[in-house]
Amino acid sequence: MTIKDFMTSKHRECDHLLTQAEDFLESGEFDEALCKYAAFKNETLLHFTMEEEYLFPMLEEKSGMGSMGPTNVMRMEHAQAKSLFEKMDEAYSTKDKERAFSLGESMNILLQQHNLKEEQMLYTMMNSALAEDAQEIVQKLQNYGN
Amino acid sequence: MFQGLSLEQAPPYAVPIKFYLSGAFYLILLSAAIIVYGFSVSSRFDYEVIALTHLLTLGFITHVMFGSLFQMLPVMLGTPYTNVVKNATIIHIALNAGVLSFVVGFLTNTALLLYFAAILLTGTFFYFAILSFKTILLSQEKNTLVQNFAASFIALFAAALFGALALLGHFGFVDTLRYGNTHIAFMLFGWVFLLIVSVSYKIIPMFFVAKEFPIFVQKRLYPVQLVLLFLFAYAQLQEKTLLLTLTQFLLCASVILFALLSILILRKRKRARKDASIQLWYFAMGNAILASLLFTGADILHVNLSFAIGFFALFGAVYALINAMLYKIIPFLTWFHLSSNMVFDAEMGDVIPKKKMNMQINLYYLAYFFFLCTVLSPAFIIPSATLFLFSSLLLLLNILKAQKYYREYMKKKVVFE
Repeated sequence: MTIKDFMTSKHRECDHLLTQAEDFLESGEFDEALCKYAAFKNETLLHFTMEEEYLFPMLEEKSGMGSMGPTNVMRMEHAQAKSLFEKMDEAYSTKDKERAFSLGESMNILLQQHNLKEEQMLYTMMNSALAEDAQEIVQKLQNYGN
Repeated sequence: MFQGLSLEQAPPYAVPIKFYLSGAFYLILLSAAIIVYGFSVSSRFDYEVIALTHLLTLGFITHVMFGSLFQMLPVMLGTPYTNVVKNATIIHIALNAGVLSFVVGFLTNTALLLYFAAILLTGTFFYFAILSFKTILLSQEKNTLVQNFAASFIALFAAALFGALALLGHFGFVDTLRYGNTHIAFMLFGWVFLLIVSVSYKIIPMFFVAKEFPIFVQKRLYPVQLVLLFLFAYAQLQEKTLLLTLTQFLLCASVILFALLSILILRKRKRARKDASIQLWYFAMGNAILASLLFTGADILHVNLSFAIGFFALFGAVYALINAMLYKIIPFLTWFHLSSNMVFDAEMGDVIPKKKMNMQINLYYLAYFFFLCTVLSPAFIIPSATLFLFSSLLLLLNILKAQKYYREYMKKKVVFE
């Protein structure tokens, strides 16, 4: 499995968790919704950590692009998502359905366009720049957070 | 090199909003013009009909499409427009001057205004198409999406050229009907359709967490459509009746195929929650299918259904689709620009109140229904145009609301010394 394949599959898992949370929210099953939302948040934040602490520095060093290039744009978007999480926490814990949907909409669009850029450009760059150690890197990513 | 969406790539917030506000303004003019001229029209060749149709196509549709492309092309391709503020201002002024000259020129039958409109509009469309083409060429990516966008701009070039020729035809230089028909085909089946298709390939999976369109469709639909359009132009200008009927039929088949496919993909979307924009999308696709069937049927049965086809294609399909997209794009754009400026208090759901959006859309549906009733009696023109006037006013107010929201929150921006 390549780095791109692994990280892309993680994006899809996160998408799925958010849609599950919203499905429960729609049917008024708040406890299940909160549970799925928490899983979505944890997975997404773990994903950001994998990138910011491990993959981005490695790519920046190997490609010589430095930390002010595309990885910096990605970090800024992670910060935007984190600010949304704070509000979503509030909406889910107070069972404010409409607000949770509205914030979910922002989160969804932000993440989708963010993921698109990573999948089309950044992960492709990683695949080529870090090709030699790809297997080891994917293995480490699989055990990340454990 | 990689260029993600950030404020360096995206144009200032004011650029797309200026185009959207102008678009809504022309809808108000259109509604008022229907009330004044609606009773006196009898054929699609009436100068009043040409003026009214272009209030919708040039006034509303073109404004929104240009504004959205200035904002979204950099996001999708990772390449910014060069000198975006200056170029957008030039295009905005020239387009407005062109539309107003065109409409007033036809309503008052003033040749000078029509010459002026021909020069301004052709120049504006060419300028925009060249500018967008340049943006595409600068993109490192040359993927299917880029090719789809390029195809829509090729169609725009051709459509503008045939439109200018058709306009000159009103003074006896060429056969207006043949050039006019080719202009309409390139505009609708080319520029508008291919642009909607290109954007949908990205927007539908992104906004609704749905599956991608099949790669085969993404790669093959646009070249087929372009070839068919050039065959259509040849058949139309050389009066090859059989080829003309065949190309018309196949062009319609492409639209129906895309409409059905997009409905299928949307119905299987992961983000199952229904909202007004999904309903509008279905509504638009239904109208696109209906218009295509009528277009084919009218040709085979030799009946004149121009008004009905124009109504379903432009007012039922393209307008509804744009309305749906505006309510997805504007709130996100407003929130995105604010949070990129480190203003994190804003919320996308508060940018335009949902109630106001639904009220505007329901008024549109109602206007659409009353327009259909004009088949029973022309008297229905007044209530339908009045309802659409209110819907358009509300659309304008909703966009202004978003702009106000943005300005108020930008005042809260913390500037670090």
